[in-house]
Amino acid sequence: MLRPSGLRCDHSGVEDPGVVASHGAEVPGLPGDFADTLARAQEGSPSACRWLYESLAGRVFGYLRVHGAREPEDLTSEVFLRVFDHLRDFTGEEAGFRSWVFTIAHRLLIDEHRHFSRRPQTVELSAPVTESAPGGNAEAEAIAVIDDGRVASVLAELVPDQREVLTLRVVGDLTVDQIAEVLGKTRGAVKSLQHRAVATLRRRLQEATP
Amino acid sequence: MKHLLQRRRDSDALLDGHPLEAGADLGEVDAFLAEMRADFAALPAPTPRPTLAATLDGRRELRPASGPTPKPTVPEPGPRVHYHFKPVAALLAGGLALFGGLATAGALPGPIQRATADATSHLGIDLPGTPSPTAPPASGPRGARSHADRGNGTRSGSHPRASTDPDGGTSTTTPSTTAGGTAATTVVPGGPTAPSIPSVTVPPVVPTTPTIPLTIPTLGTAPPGALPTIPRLITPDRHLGVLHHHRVP
Repeated sequence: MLRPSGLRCDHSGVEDPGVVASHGAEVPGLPGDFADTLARAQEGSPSACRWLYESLAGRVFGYLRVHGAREPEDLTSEVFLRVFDHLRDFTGEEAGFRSWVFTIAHRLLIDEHRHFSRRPQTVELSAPVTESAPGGNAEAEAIAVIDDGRVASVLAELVPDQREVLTLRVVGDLTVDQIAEVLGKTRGAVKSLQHRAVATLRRRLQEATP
Repeated sequence: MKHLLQRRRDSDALLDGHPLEAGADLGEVDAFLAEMRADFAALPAPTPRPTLAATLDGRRELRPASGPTPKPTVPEPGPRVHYHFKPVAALLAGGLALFGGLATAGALPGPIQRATADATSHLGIDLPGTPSPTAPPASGPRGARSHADRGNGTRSGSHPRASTDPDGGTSTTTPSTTAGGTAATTVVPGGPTAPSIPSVTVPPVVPTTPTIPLTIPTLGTAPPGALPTIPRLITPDRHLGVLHHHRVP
């Protein structure tokens, strides 16, 4: 079951019995299992929708950021807009929901890469180049870890396909079959990429160890 | 080979979250993946953009579920007809229509008209030129057949058997081509012909050898320069239904 970690919710209303969300406070997990939460979200419960967003948005944001999204915040919002627009068509378990969300994220990421590969981005010289942070300092630090930390530098050593498989496996917590579905590859191809990624990691980490 | 398979099993167990076997050399990778999970788990959800925030706050309705995909109202296309068959089919259809029209009008060449009429008479379709057992078509002059007569195998009106020499010469009476020279008159009740006009059923034509009366003038009796009078030979042209005048040279 997905458990939102470090949830901060701006919503202060009480829509569902047993759900209390207060400004700036951690939101406890919704009572019941994922199926109940999904059903409430499909009925339009704002707290259930927010819970679904908070439980996966951070990982989706990190996934998009690691894979070079230009505007990962905007893209994350776009991913969840699509998710909620088609939420009433979704049927399945929690793992299927996670796989579905990452499938949408993967496709939007590809769309963005195509968009920017066709149109070179222009930056005004007079404008100060600042890194936008979605929240306060703690969030900025977490993003900086992803951007500049050891994890980011080691992941950068992987070829894109291996990095894709590894992040979906570790960050998205998807199975090999789900990754094969997201990437449109066979199960064997995904397993092969996964093994090569682990081998590369092992080699790089051993080289980096003094 | 065994080492490679063991390493693959270790990497699978590592990514599945299972504990590594003793002696596995993937400890550093395991530590790295744990660090990676922790880093990404610490990432906060970004601030939603206004449209998404409206959805999360309940100010924007979720899109209703799309129903079952409606079936197309346009019927499924049938098997495709090869395009190179279409001109052939059009030619066939046009030719058939033309042939049928000409056959109905009796405008086909004689043998073809007869063959067509014979063929269609078996199907119950009477076309001009059908050899009727009671009315041979060659017994009347051209124009003597009315439209009402066509196709019903009967002839109405009289059948002149005499011809007049248009040259004003010697007039001869041709022998009747009908057997016995008599014709039975039958009235068809309710037939397509007018009741006032009796229908004449003509017996089938029996080919007879026309006798040619030839008068050869005795030598010396004819005035000098006079040619012997040769009577006309009138033979029935069966398929045209007219009498042709042949001059014997």
